Amino acid sequence: MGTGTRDAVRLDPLQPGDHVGWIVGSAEEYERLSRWCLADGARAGDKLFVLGSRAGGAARATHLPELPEHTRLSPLRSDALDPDAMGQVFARETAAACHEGYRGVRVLADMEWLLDHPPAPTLETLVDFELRLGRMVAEMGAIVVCAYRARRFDPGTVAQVMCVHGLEIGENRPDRGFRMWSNGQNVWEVHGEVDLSNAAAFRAALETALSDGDSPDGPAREPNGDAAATVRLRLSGLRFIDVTGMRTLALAAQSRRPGVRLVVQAAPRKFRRWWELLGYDQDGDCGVEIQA
Amino acid sequence: MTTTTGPGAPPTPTEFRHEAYLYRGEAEFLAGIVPFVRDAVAAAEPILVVVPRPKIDMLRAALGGDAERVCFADMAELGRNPGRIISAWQDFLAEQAPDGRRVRGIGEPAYAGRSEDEFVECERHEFLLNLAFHDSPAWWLLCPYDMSALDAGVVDRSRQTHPYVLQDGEHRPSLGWVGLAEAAGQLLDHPLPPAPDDAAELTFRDGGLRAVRELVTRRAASAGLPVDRAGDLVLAANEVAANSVRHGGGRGRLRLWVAAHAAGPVLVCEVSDRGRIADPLVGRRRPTLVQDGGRGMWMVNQLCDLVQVRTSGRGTVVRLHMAVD
Repeated sequence: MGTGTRDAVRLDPLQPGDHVGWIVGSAEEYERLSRWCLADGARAGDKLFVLGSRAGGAARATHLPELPEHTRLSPLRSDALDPDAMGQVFARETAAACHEGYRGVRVLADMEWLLDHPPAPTLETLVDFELRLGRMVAEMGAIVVCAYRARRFDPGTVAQVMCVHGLEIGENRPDRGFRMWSNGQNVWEVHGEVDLSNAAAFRAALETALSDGDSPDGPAREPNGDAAATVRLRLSGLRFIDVTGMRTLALAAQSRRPGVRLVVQAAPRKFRRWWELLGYDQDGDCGVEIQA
Repeated sequence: MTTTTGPGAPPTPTEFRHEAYLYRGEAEFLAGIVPFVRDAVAAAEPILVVVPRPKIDMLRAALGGDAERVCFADMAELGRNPGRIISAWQDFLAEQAPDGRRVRGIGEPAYAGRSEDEFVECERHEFLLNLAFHDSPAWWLLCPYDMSALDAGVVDRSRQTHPYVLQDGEHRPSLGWVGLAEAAGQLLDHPLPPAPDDAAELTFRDGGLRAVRELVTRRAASAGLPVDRAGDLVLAANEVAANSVRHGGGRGRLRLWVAAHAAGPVLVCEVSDRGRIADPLVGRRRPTLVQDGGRGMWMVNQLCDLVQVRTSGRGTVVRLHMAVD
């Protein structure tokens, strides 16, 4: 099928900090795009890793690309859905890779490995995991491609999990509505359109962003070490949000931990007008600070 | 000075008293309204007067210093869509009488110059006030109707929607009052005029809300709706269509057309589905933050110039009107 080649050719090189979602429709697509992804990394001078399931995803992946001689492909394992543990591994490997002269690390994660650790993760767990992982990826300038094989995951769940990846590749990628990701500078970017179709992912993503303020070591902590953390949402790319989405934001803000500030930045004019009409701007109502 | 002089003089209300004031011209308007306001001021009862702007100016002049004790709002703004007025009264009661103290209001939603569609919705609003406040603490709402400027039919029907009528200086129970239970059949089923054959049309279901928003955006742009108001209509249409997906059988039909009105063209956006809305007050009461449902339709009323809801066993039709100014 010609579309595959065109797809691969059209793809821009991935950049450090990219956290990429991918719903894999077929084994053929997996092979083709994995090859592109790893070859792109080899060209850019990334140290390549493949994270796979115990069932042999990593081994399978190692046979994929025709890579330049000097490229190493290292299997990586993780035993739990723990973004912090994974982040530590990435940080260590990034430091080592840079020391060795690479641009950074690039991880192709076959998300089948999640299924090694029952019970099957819920939408909320996955959104939380991917959002935190994405933030670490952005902060350390790594590249992570999360490949979800369509047949192994609930389609509705995985489609919404794509919303918390800053980028998406693959043949099966309709516009997801909204995307939310960390820009690596302690700000969550929210782009696109929040409506009924992705309300659950938006709610889960906000809960993760706000619970960030709970972490005493989290980047949300103020630079002066003050325990009062600030969570920032940047809405400049928000094209639409429905009434349920705005209420979700208000409720998430209302239930946040005391001392945590929630600041909305670069909100479109219509968002600000609607927010006021809903009465959410009133003092003490839900405590979101809206900045132009 | 007091208004309670005639043989039908009202006792002090012990419940919500909803009364039409049938008058002719400015002089009679002032003759009935000024004493009603002064009584409230004298009794230290909070009072909100929602009438068209020229009448606010007239009342301020007539009230002199007492005007400072009165809250005024322009009915042409606050009540442009009559579907917003009930929540404005609720806000007023909550702010001014959280202790249940008596308050008064004057509301003239049916002022001369409204369109036919608007008068129909004013009538519906006047009826629904009785439902909305039938178990609220006592307050007294007087609704002026100018017999010298309005259609006789509009004035006649005010007797059906108001349990009391003030006319020629006398307060009387209204003989035409339909009662609370009659309402659904008589007043809430007023049929809508048919949509034109050339209306833009789209059927939608779960996952199709973006297509709804895109069609509304395109049609609003071609009709010349300013960008802010077009955005408001997109949100309103999205909320109604989302209700179709969630409660209206999972699917619905969107139609859009421009209707010619005396005051200028109006973009009409209609969403219909197979569902039925049980609450005739849907979208008219301000939802609390924790409350789950009803927020979308409340917002729709705030955003649109006019909202028409018709619901029966055959399904639900919601029409949103935006004047193309």
